[in-house]
Amino acid sequence: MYISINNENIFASNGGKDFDSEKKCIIFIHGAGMDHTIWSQQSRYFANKGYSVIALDLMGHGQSLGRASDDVKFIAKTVSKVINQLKIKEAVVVGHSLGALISIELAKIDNKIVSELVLLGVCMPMRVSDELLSNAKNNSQDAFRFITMWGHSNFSHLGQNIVPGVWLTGTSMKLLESSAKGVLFSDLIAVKNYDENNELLQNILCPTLLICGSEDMMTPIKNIEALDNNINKLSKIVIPNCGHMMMLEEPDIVRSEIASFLGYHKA
Amino acid sequence: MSGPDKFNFNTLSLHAGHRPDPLTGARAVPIYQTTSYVFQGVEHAASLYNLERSGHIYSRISNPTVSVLEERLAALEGGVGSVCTASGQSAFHLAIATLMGSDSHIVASSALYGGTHYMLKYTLPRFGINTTYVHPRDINGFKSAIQSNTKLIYGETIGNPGLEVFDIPTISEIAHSNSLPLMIDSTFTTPYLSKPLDLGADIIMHSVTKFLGGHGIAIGGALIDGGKFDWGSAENFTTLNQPYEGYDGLNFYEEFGPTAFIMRARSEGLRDFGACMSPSNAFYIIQGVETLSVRMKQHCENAYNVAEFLETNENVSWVSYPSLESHKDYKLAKKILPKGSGAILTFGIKGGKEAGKKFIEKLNLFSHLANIGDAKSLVIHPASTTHQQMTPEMLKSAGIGEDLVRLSIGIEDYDDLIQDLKQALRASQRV
Repeated sequence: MYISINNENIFASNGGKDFDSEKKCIIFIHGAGMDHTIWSQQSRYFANKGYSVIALDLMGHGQSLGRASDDVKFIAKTVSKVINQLKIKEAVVVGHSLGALISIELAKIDNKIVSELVLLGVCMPMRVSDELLSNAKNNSQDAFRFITMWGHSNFSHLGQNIVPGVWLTGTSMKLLESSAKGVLFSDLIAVKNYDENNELLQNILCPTLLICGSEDMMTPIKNIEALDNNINKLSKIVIPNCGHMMMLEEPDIVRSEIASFLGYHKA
Repeated sequence: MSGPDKFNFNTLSLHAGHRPDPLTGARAVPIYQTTSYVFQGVEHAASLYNLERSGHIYSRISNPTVSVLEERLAALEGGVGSVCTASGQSAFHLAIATLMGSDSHIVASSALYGGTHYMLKYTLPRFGINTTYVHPRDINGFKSAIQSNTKLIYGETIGNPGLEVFDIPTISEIAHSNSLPLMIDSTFTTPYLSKPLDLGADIIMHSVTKFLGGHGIAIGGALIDGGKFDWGSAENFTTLNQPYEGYDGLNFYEEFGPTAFIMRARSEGLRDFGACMSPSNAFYIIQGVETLSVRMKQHCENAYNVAEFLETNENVSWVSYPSLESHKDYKLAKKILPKGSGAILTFGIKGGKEAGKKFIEKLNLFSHLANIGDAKSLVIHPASTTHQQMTPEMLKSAGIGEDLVRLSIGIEDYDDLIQDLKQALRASQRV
């Protein structure tokens, strides 16, 4: 479905089911240079379990028009407009990496609507190397290659994907390559410039699940202290042998942990 | 290292798609000789069938041993995924059936494997799919053959048996400027010699029976999806960008993005047509892939030496091998096949058909059979075997004369191959 925000069409996949604002909603927000397809192992499942699914393509990403923003707070406000326009009354927000930062902001803006928060592959602060930024600025293939290399665990680099026949690192690389020029750079600037006062994290009142990968080189577990210390109702899980792309590397565990967190049996 | 992978080609040949079994410690890829997989419960089963989650259901659709080979081939080719099939022919059919239905059109190189030619020329028209053939060197011909219902451009990296080199970079530009995908049969070259996806192709097919398996012991095929073609904006590809009632309105492009083609090929094509690879065949092919680089180096070295020998033999009227300067596509071969032109070569024997028969019968090391890409050297006379159903005009268009002999050079000691060829050529000229 497309939602018009500020005269730009924003795309959201609904996991194969019609959107219904009367149902509890689950909003998936992707990370830098990605799009909604990274959630295909989760979105379709929850759509078939009674949720209204909104797996967004952020502006300038995937099938969404408009220009990618380099400001997390601005992007969060855009997502908030999507929530208002669709008249969503209650939503679980699931964000990965850049999408997790946007989710944190959203939980503060729409704290009456966001009922649960699921954060994947995030830490505070999130550092972006100068080399990566420089390559992204030049739209160099190396930027996509670095993210693919660093974003997956050693196990994932060997393969044996849960999706039969799909070569995971090749898929991640092609997804990054398909992003429009400048989008990855803009996303990485948004991550780098996000300067959250850690104490404001205490304003997040909803139950929050933090999912980490034991081998995540991009948002290492050692840097989650600020989240751990300041988000009130935080529970966290660490997926062994998993890198930064946990919803792709360990889709069953991620799906199952979200389902369990939302109060029903493990998926 | 230019790709996204942490590991290089030889390492991927040995490891991609497989981790040692944590339960048993088994190092080799196990043969999962099972038809089916136990569901964790009713809800788990339902979600697998509805593609809400991934996993194995039934070995016609996927199997853990076959999946190792699929991931390995995708990694070696630089693709996003692969589906292995019962044969190269079924891989080709699967690609066609995934991309198009009736009232569709294909533009294909005229230099094709006989089996592919039969399917395009005689079988697919019964299902409303027609093909226009273009000589692989007629670049403008590919442009002018495109119609409003064209869904695919297709060629072989090295044509069979004429050994024309297909200009993948140029023809991929023609394809893409017309919003069409380019599919390449890369059986002759394998990813060791050529990576068509890097050259601009969108889909690769292999008969893995040949050099990838390498030992002439198992039949199989593979499709590899490059993940780059924009199925979403190309109106023609409704199988990929429109809801599919076979999975409750699933739109493959919307749901799976870069893997849309390969996901549909598996979930519809293997489900409905069922031309799957057996786990034991996948195991055999995996053993071949593990030594691909070592074998291909030796294949190419031997083939080049044999080609040079034949060029100077008095009983040979011509030799075709793209690494020879005398070949029409020598420069193109240097560009897109820098490590060598593979191990298939053809030559014309003086004395025509009768001399050809004698030559084949006198060979000792070379085996006369309908295959290529074995570690052992092979020989065939296409006009009387693989391409015998073609009309004289088609044979001419495909560059197949009655004097043409095709060799698939193995990895034996080069001197032994030369001695065998020398004595058989001599014998072929005796009255």
